[in-house]
Amino acid sequence: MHLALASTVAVPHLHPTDEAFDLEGFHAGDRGTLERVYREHYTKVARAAASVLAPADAETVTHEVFHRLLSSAKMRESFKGGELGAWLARVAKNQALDFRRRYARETSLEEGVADAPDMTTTTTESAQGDSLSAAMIVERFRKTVLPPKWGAVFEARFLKQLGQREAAIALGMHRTTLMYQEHRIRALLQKFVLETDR
Amino acid sequence: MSAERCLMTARVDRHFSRTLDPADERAMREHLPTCAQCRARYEKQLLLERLDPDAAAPEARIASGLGIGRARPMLRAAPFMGALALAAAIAFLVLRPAGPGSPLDTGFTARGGGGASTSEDAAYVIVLRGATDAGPTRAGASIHRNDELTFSYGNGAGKRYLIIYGVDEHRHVFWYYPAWSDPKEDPHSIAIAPGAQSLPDAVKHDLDGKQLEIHAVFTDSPLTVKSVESLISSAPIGKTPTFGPGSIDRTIRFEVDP
Repeated sequence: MHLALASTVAVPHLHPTDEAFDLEGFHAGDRGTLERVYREHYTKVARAAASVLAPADAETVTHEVFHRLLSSAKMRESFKGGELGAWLARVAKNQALDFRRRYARETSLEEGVADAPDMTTTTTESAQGDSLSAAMIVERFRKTVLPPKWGAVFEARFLKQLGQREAAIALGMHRTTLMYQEHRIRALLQKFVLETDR
Repeated sequence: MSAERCLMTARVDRHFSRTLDPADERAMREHLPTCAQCRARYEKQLLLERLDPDAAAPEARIASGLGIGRARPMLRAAPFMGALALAAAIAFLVLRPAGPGSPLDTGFTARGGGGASTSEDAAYVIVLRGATDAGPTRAGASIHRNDELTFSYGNGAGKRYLIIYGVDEHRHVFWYYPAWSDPKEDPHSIAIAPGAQSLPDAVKHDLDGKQLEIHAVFTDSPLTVKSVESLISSAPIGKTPTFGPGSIDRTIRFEVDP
């Protein structure tokens, strides 16, 4: 029996008139306030960066936005009120665009430098390329490395992302057996992915 | 293209294991856009994270690099059932050879090779910690100072004895196996069976450091706790003691949360 769970979580907006939001503390760099801002707006910032950049670069920009927020009073004080999440998303998008312009320009100046990363692909092309590449790596792992006896656990846990309890029930095995196999698969997969040239 | 590995790739790995401090994180972030090798490594780690059902969420990982709190990994946690039901409460911890920041490397078995791992690969320990009712917890890079730890091991290497101890940054040694509660005694390694086994006791120590390095040492002959402590105290700072020919030392580092 498949149990479908659905839940929605309402994420409160931080608004200057919201008693929970301490604008003064935010400007002052109160650690608790900033950590809360991070948790409540991480997703918005990450999505804004990912709308422009490939995943690794999007995470760098996400990191940079929050690093600036934590370390720069000037930046925090530039937020005067309104929807903090929307403001952060705009900051992230602008920073991502700057990032793309900067490194595309640096790449174009570095003629013949084999190590210079390619920043010129669009986000869509990059995402499609990443998905295809990931699927090929997974398929090669299954064909060339993964012992057949562990195939079911690999599929259940790593591909279908079932929980351990759910996977053990679906596969009709003891949970400790599943955990042992999962542990071994994880080690093989990590070695394969990290040491394979793509 | 240079065949040498960029030194910063180790920092990429440490970012994903959430053991990179904010200053090093900054350096890594500044370097990343300029280095194809490190970007490739980062993307591979992202792929592993997407596949691994027990990986921490990116939000927690990036928070760690920013030094934000002790960001709790967004994982389901298993109920801790105590010594008699170890199978229901497990946290998988990444095992790595002794040495800081080294990438995961517990062995590699080619398909069609009979499924046999090298003997070193077949010696492992799984560390378990108490958690909530939501499912198994991967402890990742941190444990709480009041955690009760339990252990399972795999002894495909055919070793006969095992000790498990932890050592913090002050070189305080905490014994898990064998138990050592009387300073007049000098207990020795526990005898172990082949294959995968669970050890019965849940052990709690009053940890007072910020880091704890767990060592599980598989040997052919028994070691005594006093001899091991002597080896630890005489080893150069930052170096793991050697336990003699044929010994296998599996280590893992934790941050200790208050």
